Amino acid sequence: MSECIRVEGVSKSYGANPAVSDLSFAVEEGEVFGIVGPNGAGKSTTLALLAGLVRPTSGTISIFGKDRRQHALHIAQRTGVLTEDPSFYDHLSVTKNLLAFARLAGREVTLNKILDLVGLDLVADQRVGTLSRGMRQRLGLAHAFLTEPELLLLDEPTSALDPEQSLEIVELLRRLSKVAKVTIVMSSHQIDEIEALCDRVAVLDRGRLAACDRTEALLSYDKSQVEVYLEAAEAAARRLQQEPWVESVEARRGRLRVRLKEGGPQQLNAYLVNAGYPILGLMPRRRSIHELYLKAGNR
Amino acid sequence: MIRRILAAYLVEITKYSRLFSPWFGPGFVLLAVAGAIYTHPIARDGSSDIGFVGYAVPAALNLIGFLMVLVYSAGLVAGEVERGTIRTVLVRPLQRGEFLAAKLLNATTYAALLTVLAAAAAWVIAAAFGEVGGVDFGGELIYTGQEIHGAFAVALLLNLVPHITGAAYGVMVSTLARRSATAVAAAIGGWLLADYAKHALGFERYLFSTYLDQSWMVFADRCEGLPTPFFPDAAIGLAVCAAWAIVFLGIAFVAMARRNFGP
Repeated sequence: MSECIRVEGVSKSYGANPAVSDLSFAVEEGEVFGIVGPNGAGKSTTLALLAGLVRPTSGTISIFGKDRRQHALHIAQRTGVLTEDPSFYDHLSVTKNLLAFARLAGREVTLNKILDLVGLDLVADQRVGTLSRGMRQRLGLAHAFLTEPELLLLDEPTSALDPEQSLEIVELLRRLSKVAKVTIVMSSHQIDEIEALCDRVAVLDRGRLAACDRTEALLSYDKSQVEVYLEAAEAAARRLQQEPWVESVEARRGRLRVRLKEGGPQQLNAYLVNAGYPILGLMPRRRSIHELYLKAGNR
Repeated sequence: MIRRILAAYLVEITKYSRLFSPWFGPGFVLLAVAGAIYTHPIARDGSSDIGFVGYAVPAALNLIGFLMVLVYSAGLVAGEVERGTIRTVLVRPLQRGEFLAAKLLNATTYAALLTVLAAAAAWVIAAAFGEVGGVDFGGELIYTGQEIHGAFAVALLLNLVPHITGAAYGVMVSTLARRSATAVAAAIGGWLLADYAKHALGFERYLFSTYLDQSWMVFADRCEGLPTPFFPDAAIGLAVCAAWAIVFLGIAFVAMARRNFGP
């Protein structure tokens, strides 16, 4: 797999206010890369930098192995972009808007397929000014998919969509990634979506990269916190509280939440079995991106 | 590059021709030409009424038409920034300079449309209610119909040049503003201030809009039978307009290249 995007030491300031600082990451071809973070973390600025709408104050961005600034046209020909709160010409119909943007791309496009893909076929002749926010978002996605791009830069692709539409779009993005091998970089506030779609995730905090790793690494198991399902939970909790390697125990309705000072789930399992407590289930707690997100926001 | 500019230009024309507000310009220009009948009545005396055309066209174009070109061109980029559509456009394979060139072509087309409409309307009115033949004096033919019509075409073309410079000025202001209302106010205010101060400060020869009337003054002389030439004075006007257009476009291109269109 070769590299699709490389961001090296990129900073962007508006006057004295830094929007992103010293950002470095790479995205492989065919990868789905998520960007998360609280409001003002720099997610949209990062995507705008990748899309060439914003020029970095320092640092370099290369896409498809070419410098972003020097090969802007070549990159734009192979990239589809959904901007935050996408805007179109309100007085033109959905079809006329898409045809206009296809003309700018110098491409002949089959609109029916795209309209059908994003569920806009029934409002194709309607003026954009009369569309709901959700429909405009779909139009934004249609605009991004217009020229069958190899790279998609999507700023909150499912915002303003209802849960059913969101699921459809997530499924569509998954298909594009797996079948068409489209590289996707997306930001989202929907953590579930990021978890479901992204191979890797970058967490931004006030313009800085707080974490960047494979989704499963970020969501790895925290072996110091274990949930145990057993019948005699209260009795087991009392016994565990006396052990020096246990930090705390919480028992509730046949379930124990054990925080360990040392050792791991295997040691806990062995201890409980030897002590005569039949275990129904035992699982270390899984970290969520939500935790990282909140941690970044509260830092 | 040419193909992309033309594609963007066609998109521009499609977009703006379907809007209501740009049609105020042609409407006002046509009304001004029609209104000229009251200030410059057609004599119906059998002699040429080409003088009416030479009066009505600049009367309609050089203030109302010019202001409409400024209003239209000042809204072209700032309007896209204000609506956010510029971000949707600039993520397409289109360089910022090409986008700006398409905007300038759009504004030039608008200026040309107003010019052609004013000329056509004045000509139709003069032909309908009088004569549009040559110029004679005391029974002697001074200019044939062909000669005076040729002079009219030259005056019209020379008049279009400061209008195009005005369009470049409007586009430049537009690239510097975030809202179309701000751009329009700045463009008109800036031009009025310069036009007001030009005589007092003695720079009228260097202001492009001074040359809006120049070709029509020559044409008016021709309609009176005088042999006033267009050149070399017109060359000075062309040079001043070209110089300003280069300055305006240079500023516009630099401003456009440096701007951020982020969140």
